[in-house]
Amino acid sequence: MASLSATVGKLRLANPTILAAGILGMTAEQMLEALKGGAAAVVTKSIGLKAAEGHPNPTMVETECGYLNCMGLPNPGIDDFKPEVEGVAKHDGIVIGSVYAKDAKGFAALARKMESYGASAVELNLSCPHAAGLGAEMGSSLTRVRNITRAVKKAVDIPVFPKLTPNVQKIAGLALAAEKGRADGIVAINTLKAMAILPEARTPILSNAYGGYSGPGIKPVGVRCVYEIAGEVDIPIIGVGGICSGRDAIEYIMAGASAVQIGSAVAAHGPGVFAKVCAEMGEFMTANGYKRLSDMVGAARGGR
Amino acid sequence: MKAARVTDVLQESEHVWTVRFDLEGSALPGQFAMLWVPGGEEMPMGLSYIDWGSKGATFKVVGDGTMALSKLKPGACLGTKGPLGRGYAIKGADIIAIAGGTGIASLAPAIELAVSGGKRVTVVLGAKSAGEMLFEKRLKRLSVNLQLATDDGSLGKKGFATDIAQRLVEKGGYDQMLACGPEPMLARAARMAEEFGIESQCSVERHMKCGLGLCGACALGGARVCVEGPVFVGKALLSMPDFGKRRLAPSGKVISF
Repeated sequence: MASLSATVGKLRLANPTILAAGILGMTAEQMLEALKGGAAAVVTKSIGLKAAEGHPNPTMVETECGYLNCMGLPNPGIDDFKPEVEGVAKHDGIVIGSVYAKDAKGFAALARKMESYGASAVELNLSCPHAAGLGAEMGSSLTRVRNITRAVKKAVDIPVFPKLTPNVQKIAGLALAAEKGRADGIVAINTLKAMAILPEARTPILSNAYGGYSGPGIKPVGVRCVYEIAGEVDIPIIGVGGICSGRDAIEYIMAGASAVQIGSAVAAHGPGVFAKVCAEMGEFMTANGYKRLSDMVGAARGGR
Repeated sequence: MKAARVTDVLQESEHVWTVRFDLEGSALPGQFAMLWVPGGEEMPMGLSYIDWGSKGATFKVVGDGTMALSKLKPGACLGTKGPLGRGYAIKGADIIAIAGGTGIASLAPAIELAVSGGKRVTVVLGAKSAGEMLFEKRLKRLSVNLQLATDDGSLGKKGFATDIAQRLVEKGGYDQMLACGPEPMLARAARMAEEFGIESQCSVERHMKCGLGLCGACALGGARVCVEGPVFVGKALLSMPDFGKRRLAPSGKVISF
């Protein structure tokens, strides 16, 4: 049988599927559900220094090929989040702590706390498209991506994965900046900045007007971004965006990703989506003569 | 999101209103919809009417969002998502339904369905006082054993709905308990049902954001109230350490009831 075990730098995973940030990751119990559903690791909600309620509803709307959201980074603040990280870590679950802040110092402080709570890695939210002054607004600057990554690397020993925004001309440039800041890997992509209007109401639906587009509709964009990033950097990539099936995950892996994250597909398939994607990947690998996942990483690149 | 037209807005009591709208399609009793007055806040609402061509929500005015909903006029546009979530699955021949406050909003369609399916139904309808008693007329039109209870004794028996229900349940004969109301009340109802060996189904309310099973805001144990709920089997609820005790605030902070 084909082996699905994956490595992302120092991180060893039983399979390449990880729960994406912002999905279910509010409590330990929900993250444990994703692990029970087959995820090899979970990313928490993006956590900041202080509690925040996020944007008022409507914060989510379904579209033809996915979802638009403007949750606006609701979170209980890093100190209150301690039991949730510990609650997963004590069951030997691999937790990747997602953090957001307005400057490098804040990111470093949050990462240190995540590490002390038992997180196996940190993901830097440099890409949320619907929070003023945060996320993508700072994550679009090469200098800030490099400096924030560097500051967090100095603060913690666990791997540091900046999550990048596709809402820029050249995402590979951001990945290169993160690599220069000594990132251990890249997570790509976050949602695409988007809008939905209810014609009868003549108004944008989301309370923030703009939101982030996720789900099947963005998969080709994500695959393209991973392909471009893999051509620029030597550090591993975690691919994310619209993955619902084993074939979707394999597209990302063949573009150059070492592992994948799954988020929106939890709505249609529930927390069991991870086992489903893994089973489908295994079937593809067996049918096509792949013994190890690593044999497929970057396979579509043809040496590029 | 689907646009519906408001058809009726009715004041049920001093603070409680019903909005009817022309959303077409089937819905199960106990399911909810996300309702949005354009430009305002979108809210999850248990459906109090589930006819094919017409749905309704009955709610207490507690803030700007519910106030805006109560001030809608017929013809107004209402953004809707749903019906969403799991409803009541009625089992057995003899049903007892326990409603606290606006909890009767989600139970009323279940009671109507049970009666039309030939079940014997007892309804314990609880309110703080006579002025807040909801759907009394709607239930009196049905052939149900209706027991009214108020906290202050101004109408029906004095006491909590669960206390009145306990006396009935002790006499035996019920196959299933349905309950909707504040979570501590539901915890009492679920424990009572467990004690007397009756299957129970409780509709739980939590702070909800996306309504689609993604954001995790409505976490209850490892479940999502918007997908695995809002109606849960009581036995499952009693196995969740936070049921009736703790919930998530809008920020995700854990707070006590």
